[in-house]
Amino acid sequence: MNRFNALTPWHNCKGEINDFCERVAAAMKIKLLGIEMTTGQGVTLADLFQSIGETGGSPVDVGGHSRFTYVDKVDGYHVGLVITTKDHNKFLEFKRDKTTAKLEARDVSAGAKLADFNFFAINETTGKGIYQYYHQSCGVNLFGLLCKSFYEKLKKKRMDAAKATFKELTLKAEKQINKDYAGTLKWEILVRKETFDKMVSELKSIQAVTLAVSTLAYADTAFSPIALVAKNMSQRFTFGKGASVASVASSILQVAKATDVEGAKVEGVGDDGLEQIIKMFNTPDVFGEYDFDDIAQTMTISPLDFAKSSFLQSMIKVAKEEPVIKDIAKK
Amino acid sequence: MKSQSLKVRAQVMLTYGAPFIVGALVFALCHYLERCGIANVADYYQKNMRASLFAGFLTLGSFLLSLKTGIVIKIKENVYDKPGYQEKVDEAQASGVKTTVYAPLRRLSKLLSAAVLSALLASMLQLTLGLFSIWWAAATCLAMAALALTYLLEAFALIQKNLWDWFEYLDDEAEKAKVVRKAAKDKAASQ
Repeated sequence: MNRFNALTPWHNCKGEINDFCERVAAAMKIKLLGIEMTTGQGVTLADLFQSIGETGGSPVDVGGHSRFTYVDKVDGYHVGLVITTKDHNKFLEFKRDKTTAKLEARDVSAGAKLADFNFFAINETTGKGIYQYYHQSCGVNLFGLLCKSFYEKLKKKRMDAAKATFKELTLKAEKQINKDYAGTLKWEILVRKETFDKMVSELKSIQAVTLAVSTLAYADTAFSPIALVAKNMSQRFTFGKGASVASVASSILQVAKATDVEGAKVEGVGDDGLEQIIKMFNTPDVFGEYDFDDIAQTMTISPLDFAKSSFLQSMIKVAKEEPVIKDIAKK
Repeated sequence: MKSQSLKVRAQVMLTYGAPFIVGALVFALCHYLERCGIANVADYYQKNMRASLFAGFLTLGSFLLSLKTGIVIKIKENVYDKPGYQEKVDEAQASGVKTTVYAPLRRLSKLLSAAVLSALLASMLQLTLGLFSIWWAAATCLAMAALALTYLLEAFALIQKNLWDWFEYLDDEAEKAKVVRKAAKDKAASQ
């Protein structure tokens, strides 16, 4: 046995460091991801974004950072900008030439904070849209939680208003109000078949899998000739805490390969400990990829005028060209 | 005969049961009008409805009787007897559908017979039970008329559905013939 290999973790970690370097290199890219948002009863997406707009960009603390959200409506899309500010005021610069290397701490200019930006454009009708993301910015899950915090506030406000209309709130009326506002905001990342398996494998645990299959079958009729009809079937499988992610992921892929699966949805817990829903779609994983520096260069704007941003306009253009975003899915 | 699927059983029960429900509702309405003194059901029925209902249902029943055989035979020859349709049934049976080639036609024929019989029975009742000036006799005649009318409407809807399927089948056949003609034409041109 090689003693060096056995004693030093460095040798074994080479792969991980290479992975890390690749991830850092990839982090310099801005990606456009597909997302889908669905609301519960009584509150629509339009209501949600209107309520976010009414806050006028007030900060909300989600995931340990302050998030400023600005929204607008452009060509049938709910568009928005999420600005995440970081608490630290210093950042490091690393300079290296042939002979020397130097790490230097720098200050953010007075009164300013380090910031990350995320644009989104969500189709009013379908609830599907595009979310712009880069490494260390506000992820899709955090964005979902941010929207959910507004959603829950609005829902509570409306439920309280509905309850206030009754002089004496009966149990029946309260149940009806709860029914009228049942459900909550849900969000899903849209991924294609090929990478679905990879994304599922990266989950920490899997809670449930829903498979949708559409087939042509003969319908047995009582009084007329038999005919072929399209049958949509959806099956949900739930798993206990001990279920192995690897075996579930490979089984899903096997089923997807063996049958003509129209769509699959996996509910699980991601690395960050947050609930994550991954939805398989016949769509590209990344609707566009841009160089961070190029886009950041154009970001010297007032957040209130974000709708005029050329990058957002190009995002809307991408969304309009994608059938999966603009077309209503067949139920 | 193969056993029927649950869906087919439910369809058959609903189709045969719905006219009885309508008849029962009409009877209940007559009872309500009589009991509450809103109308003299027997008197009104005998003066204004009995004769028309007799003539109407006799005509409808006779007409449907003559039409029934024609409809069933035509659909049988043009859809059910075709090898293409019989292949479809084979495929359906292989995929687990509990049916036979002529099972739907047999059911349609039975339903048309029920419609004819109910129309003739309704017509006969107007001439027999309808003569008694008692509310329940009038109510029974009206309920039977409503039952027969519902059967006739159902028969009409089902004939329409069968004709629709027949035309769709003809369209498919025409499309297939078109493809064959085009292939023959291309072959002739290449020679």
